[in-house]
Amino acid sequence: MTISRSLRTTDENSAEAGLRPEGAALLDELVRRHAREIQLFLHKLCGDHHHAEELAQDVFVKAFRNLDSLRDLGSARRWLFAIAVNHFNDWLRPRRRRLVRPVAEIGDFDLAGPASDRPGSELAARELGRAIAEGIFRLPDRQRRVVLLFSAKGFGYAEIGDALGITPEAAKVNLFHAREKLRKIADRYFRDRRDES
Amino acid sequence: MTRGCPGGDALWALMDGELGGAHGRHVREHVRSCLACRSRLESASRVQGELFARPPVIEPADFEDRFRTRLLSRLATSEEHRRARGWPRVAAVAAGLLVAAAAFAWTARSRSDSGASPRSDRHEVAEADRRLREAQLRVRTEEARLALLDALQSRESTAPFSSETVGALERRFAAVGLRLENEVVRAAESAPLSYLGRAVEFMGAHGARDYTPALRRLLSSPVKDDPAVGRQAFEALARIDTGESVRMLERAARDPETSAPALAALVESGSDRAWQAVERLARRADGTLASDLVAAVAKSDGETSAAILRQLYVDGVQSERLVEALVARPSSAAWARREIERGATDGPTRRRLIALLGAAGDREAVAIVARALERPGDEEIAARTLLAIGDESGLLALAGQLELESRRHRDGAARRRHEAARDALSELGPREADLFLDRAIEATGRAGRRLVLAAGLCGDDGVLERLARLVDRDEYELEALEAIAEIGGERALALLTGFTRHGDARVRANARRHLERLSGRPGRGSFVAHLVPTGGPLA
Repeated sequence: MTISRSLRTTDENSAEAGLRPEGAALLDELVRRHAREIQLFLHKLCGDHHHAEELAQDVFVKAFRNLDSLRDLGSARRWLFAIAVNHFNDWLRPRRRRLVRPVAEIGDFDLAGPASDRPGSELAARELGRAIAEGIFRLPDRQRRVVLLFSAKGFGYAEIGDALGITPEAAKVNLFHAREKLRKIADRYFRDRRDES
Repeated sequence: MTRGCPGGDALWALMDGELGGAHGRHVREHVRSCLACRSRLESASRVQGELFARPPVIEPADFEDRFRTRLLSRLATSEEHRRARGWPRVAAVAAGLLVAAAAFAWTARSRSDSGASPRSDRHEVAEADRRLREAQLRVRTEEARLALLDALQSRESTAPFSSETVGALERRFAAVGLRLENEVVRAAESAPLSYLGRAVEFMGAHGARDYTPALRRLLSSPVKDDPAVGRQAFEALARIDTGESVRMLERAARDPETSAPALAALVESGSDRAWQAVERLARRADGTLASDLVAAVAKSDGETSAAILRQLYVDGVQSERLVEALVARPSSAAWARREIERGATDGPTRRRLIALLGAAGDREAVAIVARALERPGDEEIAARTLLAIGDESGLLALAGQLELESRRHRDGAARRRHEAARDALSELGPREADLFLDRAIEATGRAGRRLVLAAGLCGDDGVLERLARLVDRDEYELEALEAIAEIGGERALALLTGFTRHGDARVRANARRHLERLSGRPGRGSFVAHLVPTGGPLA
């Protein structure tokens, strides 16, 4: 049984008119509170507005389909973010190879060109951001999920572990390794910048 | 980085604001004085900044409205997709409850956020969560019910239900405190006919006793009129195989409307209980029940089915299929022989048993059947049976019943035997006529004479010469002349005409007598019927 089916009444021509009043209220509330944040989060992950919108819609459809896995409504945000991270991870898997550049290219971070002469510039920041994003994409699956959930804010080790079905200790260890790898990418970026200047 | 530098975990803990106390102070002081660690912390800080950064995207003010509209469209589309796959609409109520509970819980939590009294907040939130859990339980229940209906409606509708499918559904229902069998009953009672059959089949596959009441309800409702559903219900009852389910089948078997599928289910079940029911039914079977019994039991091998078929046969059930079924069982002939020899059966039953021996072509039965020729009332069936068996000794026994025309009326019983044998032997052909003549030549006396008569009953022009020669053999002269006359036709008449000039007065007289009798009668196998016209040679 799906919530979508439950929300429908007799008017099949209009999805909205087909919602039961209480269902419409819940839908409104979840969208009002979390849709924007979820879509922004996904935008940050995939870097594309169009994809982010699709992914956010998918996340809410999945959420409605799995409403019975929502333990209580106080945890709706964490629950939605966990769905978002898992969904993004599934979305990323077949695209990872295209999104992540060959290792040989990583050394110079594609910083050639006028913008790279100004390390503090917006463009340089974007380059670093892109390098870190690639680093995230290159992380092992679990570390990537952990660090993405962490980046959504509001997720402690216990919540991450709960969302991913692992212990808080495992969440802590995975987060440490993931952030250390990302930090080394940043280290190398700054070192290269210093060498160039 | 030096030996005294803090590890990466300490740096990240510092970054997360989790490093306090003396250790925190120590790390902070170290980082201030250590270039390498400051560099590491700076990198960590940039990573943290990137992780928590928000993309420079400004969504429009009506973002939520547009998002919601699109989401509703998506949900509606996916709903249509699911409908197209044939999902039934049975779960709306529980889902509605879930949504209601969720909305209530949300409201309660929202009120809690907005600063109502903590105690009533806690109470309301707990109440909301309780209602949510209840609703979720109902949703899981409906999910399980849908999974069951899905299984019943499966596209692989001809495939039997696997134990994995049944087991998985059983577990799902157990998880919400329900029993699968009750749910199948529920589905079967509320489902449309299109997959009711599958529900019934499921009951049969699962084989739990608890389905009997459900099946009884089904069989007392109009759904049993659907042949497929009725058949599956009976099969399910047979698989259940309890005293009650078999009694239900027995009752259904006595109803002409349902006897065929009910009996088929009982026989296919093959259990002792089912066979006992079939035996009870066979005791007083007639009409539709009898023919349905034959049809059902004939499909089954084994001694029990054979015994039931024999019972039906002895009881006078007229059915070619029954005879075929009995003949197909090698033990039937031996049984029939035993029964005849035991002499305990009445006339009609005995005659049916004799006929069965003929149908079975049982050569071992020739002596028994030949004896039956002597029994008043059994002559005809015995003669036909000997003919059907086709064994030489049986044919000779038949020939042994023949009498000369002039002696036929002396004894009523002998006449009846003669008539029966004559009718049977008339169906034979020239090959048998030659056989009779061969045996007649070897034999002597009365037996030989009767074989000559038999040759006349089944011979044609081909044996006339042999018969003519036998006229000169004194002991066979009368029988040979009668046999020639029996064959009739142009050549026979010519021979008889010739014998009217025979040296022996008795031969001449008998030849004339036969010519008179044959006048105008067409010969066997001949188109010439007027060789001896009125006023011809006899004149």
